[in-house]
Amino acid sequence: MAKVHDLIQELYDAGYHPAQTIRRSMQRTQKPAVGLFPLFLPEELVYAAGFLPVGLWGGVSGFSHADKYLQSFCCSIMRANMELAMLGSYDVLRAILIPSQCDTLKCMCENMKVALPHVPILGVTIPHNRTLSGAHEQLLSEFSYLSDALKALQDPSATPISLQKAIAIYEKYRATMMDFIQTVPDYLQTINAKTRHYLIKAAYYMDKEEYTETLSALLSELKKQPKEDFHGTRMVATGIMIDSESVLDLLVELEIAIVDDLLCQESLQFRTKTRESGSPASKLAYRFLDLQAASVLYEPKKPRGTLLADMAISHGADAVLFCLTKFCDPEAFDQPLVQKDLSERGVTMLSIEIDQHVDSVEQLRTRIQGFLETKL
Amino acid sequence: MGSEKTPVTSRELMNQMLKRHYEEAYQAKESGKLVCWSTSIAPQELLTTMDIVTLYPENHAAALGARKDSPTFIEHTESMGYSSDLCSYARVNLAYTELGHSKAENMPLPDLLLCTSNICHTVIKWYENLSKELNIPLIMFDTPFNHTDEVQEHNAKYMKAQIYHAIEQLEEITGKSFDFDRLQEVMKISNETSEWWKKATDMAIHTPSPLNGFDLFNYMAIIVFARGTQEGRALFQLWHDELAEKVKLGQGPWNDREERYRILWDGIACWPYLNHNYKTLKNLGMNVVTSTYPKSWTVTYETGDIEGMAKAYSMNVYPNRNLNYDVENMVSLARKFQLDGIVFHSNRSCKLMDFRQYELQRRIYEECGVPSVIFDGDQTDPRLFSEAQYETRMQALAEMMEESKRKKGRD
Repeated sequence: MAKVHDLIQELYDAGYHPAQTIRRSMQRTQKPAVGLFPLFLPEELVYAAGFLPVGLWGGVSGFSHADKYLQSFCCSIMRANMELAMLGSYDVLRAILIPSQCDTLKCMCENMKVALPHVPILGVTIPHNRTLSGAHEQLLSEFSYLSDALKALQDPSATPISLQKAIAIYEKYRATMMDFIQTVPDYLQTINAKTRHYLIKAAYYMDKEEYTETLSALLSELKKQPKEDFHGTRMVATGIMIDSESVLDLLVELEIAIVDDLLCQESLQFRTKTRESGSPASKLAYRFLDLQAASVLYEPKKPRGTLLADMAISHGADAVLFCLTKFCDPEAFDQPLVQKDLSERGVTMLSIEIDQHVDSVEQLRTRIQGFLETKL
Repeated sequence: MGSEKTPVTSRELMNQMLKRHYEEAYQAKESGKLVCWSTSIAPQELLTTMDIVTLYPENHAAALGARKDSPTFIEHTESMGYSSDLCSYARVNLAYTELGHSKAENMPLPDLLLCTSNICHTVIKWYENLSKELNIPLIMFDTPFNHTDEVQEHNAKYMKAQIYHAIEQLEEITGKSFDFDRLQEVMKISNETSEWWKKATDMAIHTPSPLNGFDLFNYMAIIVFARGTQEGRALFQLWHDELAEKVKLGQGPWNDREERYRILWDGIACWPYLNHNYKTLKNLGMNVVTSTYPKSWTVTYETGDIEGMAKAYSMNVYPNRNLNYDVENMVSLARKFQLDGIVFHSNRSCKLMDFRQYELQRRIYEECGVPSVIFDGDQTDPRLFSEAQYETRMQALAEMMEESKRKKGRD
C-alpha cells in the first residue's frame, strides 16, 4: 500500500502545483511548452511538433489585473487565465492555442493577442455542424494551418515525431485514463473526490508518456489491493470542471465520492476513442466530430442527460452532481434539460456553482447537507 | 387589411408592416403554412425561396422588452431552471414558448428553426433547447469565428457546404424541390434592400444628421424580417428619400433642439428604457448618428454566388470578426460620421460584444481621440439597468466631448 500512496502523492503533487510541474517537465523533456486553453484542442498536433502541451485552466482566485480586459461577469476560468497572463506566468510558453468554442473564448483569443504580445496566440476553429462531411474537411485544413504555425515556432533542435506516433501515445494515455476512471469506484477511500481530481489534472502538466507510465504503475499496484467499502455518497459529476479546492475539500468532508464524470476538464478529454481507419489527421478530426455530451458542442438531440442517467444507474450512484461554472452560458442552457432527463429516469441531481474566485463554501455546505438529508 | 389607409410616409409603412408581420404569420399558420423561427442575421434567402413564413425571436423579445412585458417571461424562465445570467432575449423567448401569450405582442410557435452562429454561440444553445423542447427540426448554419483578419478559405467552403445541406433539409421538411431560379430573385431583392438600408442609414453622415438615431432601432426591426421582400426594399428606399429631403432642407434630427454632439451607440438598445435613454441623450444634445449595427444587415454579395452569400453572413457581422476589424470599423465610422463620442452598452446579455469593449475603447481613443463611456445595462432585463448611472455617464461623456471640441477649436 505504501507504493500506492507514494505514486498517488507523486501525481497529486504534480496536479496540485502546475507551475512547478511544468518547469520540471520542460527540463526533463527539453521541450518548450505550448499552452492550451480550455476546452477541446488537437493536443496531438502540438505533441507531434515537438512541444510539451500544457493545459491552462485558471488557478488564481484574486483578480487585480484581469479587469483591464474583462467585466466581472466573465467566468472565473478566463478571468484567472487573463490574470496569470498579465502576471507573467505564461511568459514561459512558446505559444498559446485558444479554441473558439464559446463566446468568452472568442473574446479571450482577441484580448490575449494584446495582453500577451510576446507570446504567439493561435486561434483554433472547431466546427459545430459536426455531422456534415464539410466539417471533416474544415478540420483537416484547420489542422494543417495549425501544424504549419507550430512548425514555424520550432527551435532548430526540435525533435518532432509523426502525428501517427503522437496519436498512439495519446491513445495509450486515454485507455489508461479510462481504466483509472473505471477502477476508482472500487477504491473510494484511497481515491476521494479531491485525489481523483488532482490525479487526472496532473496529465495537463506532464509529458504524456511519463504520466501514462506513472498512472499505469499506480493502477497496477492499486488493483493488487482489496476492494474498499465506502459508506458515503456516490455521485457522477458533470460540467466544465470541479476544479475548486474549497469545493473538493467540502466533498471529502461530507464523504461524497465521484464515481464517474462527464466533466470537460476530466473524462471528456479522453472518453472519445480515436477511430481505427483513416489517415492520422482524419482520425484526429473524427475524435472531435465524435465528441459527445459537452455543453459547448452543438448537439440537437442533447444526449447529455440520458448519458448521465445511464452512468448514474450503472454505477449505482446516489445522484448526479451538476457543477455549474458561474457565468458559463453553454452550461446554464444545458442544466434545466439535463435535470429534466435525469428526473424522468428517477435520478436525483444536485447543482452547485463553481467559481474559482469564491473561496467560502459555508452556504454551499448547508445546501449540500440539506440535499443529503432530504433528497437521498 | 383592406381598410388600412395607404401609407404615405416610411414611418406609416413601417408601422403597418410591423402590425401585419405577426398577423400574417398567424393566418399563414392557420392555413397550414410552415412557420420558422430564425436568428436575426441568417440566410433568410433560403426560407423566403421556400415560401416559409419566418419570425425572429430576438425581434419579438425586444418588442416585449420595449413594451414592458419582459419581466413576466424572465421570471418564468427562472422558475424553469434557467440562470438569470443568461441572455435575456433567450430567457424571454424560452418562457414565451412555454407560456404562449404576451399582453404586448404574440407570434405563433414554429414548425422549424434556423440558427446562424454569426451573432454568438449563445444562439446555438438557445435554439438547441427550442428544438428539443418543441421536438421540431433545427437547421444550423455555423459561421466560424474569424480570429484572422479575413474569412479563411476552408471556413468559406465549410459554410458553403452547410448552405447546400440546409437546402436539402428544407426540401425534406417541405416535401418540395428547391427552386434555384427563385433563389436568384430573392438574392437580388435581399441585396437591393441591404443597399437601401445602408444608403438610408448613411444619410446620417450629414451635419446635422437628418436621422434621429433611435429611429435606427425602430427601423432595424424591419431590416431583420423584410430583407428578402419587395416591401422591405421599398420601405428603405422611401426612408432614404425622406432623409435626403431633410438634408436638402437643412433639417436636423429634432425640431426643438439642435444636434450638439454626434455619437455612436455600440451594442443593442436597452429596450425597457428606450424612452429614458433617448430623452437623456436628447436633453444633452447628443444624437446617435450611427451604430455598429447597420453594417451587420448590409449583407451583400454577387447574386447567384452561394459561397459569396455564405461568406457575407460571416464577415459582415461584427461580433464574428476579430478585434482588429472592430477597431478599424469603428475608427472608420468615427471619421465618416464625424463622431464626437461613443457610448458602449455593457450588455449583460451579450458577452461576445462586452468582453472586447474595454480594449476597443482604448484603441479607438488612441487612434482617433474620440472619447467614450461604458454603461451597464441589459437588452430586456430591466433589473440590470440603473437610470442614475446612465445619466451620470452621459453627462460625463458630454463634458468630455465639450472639452474635446474646445481643444479642437483652440488648435
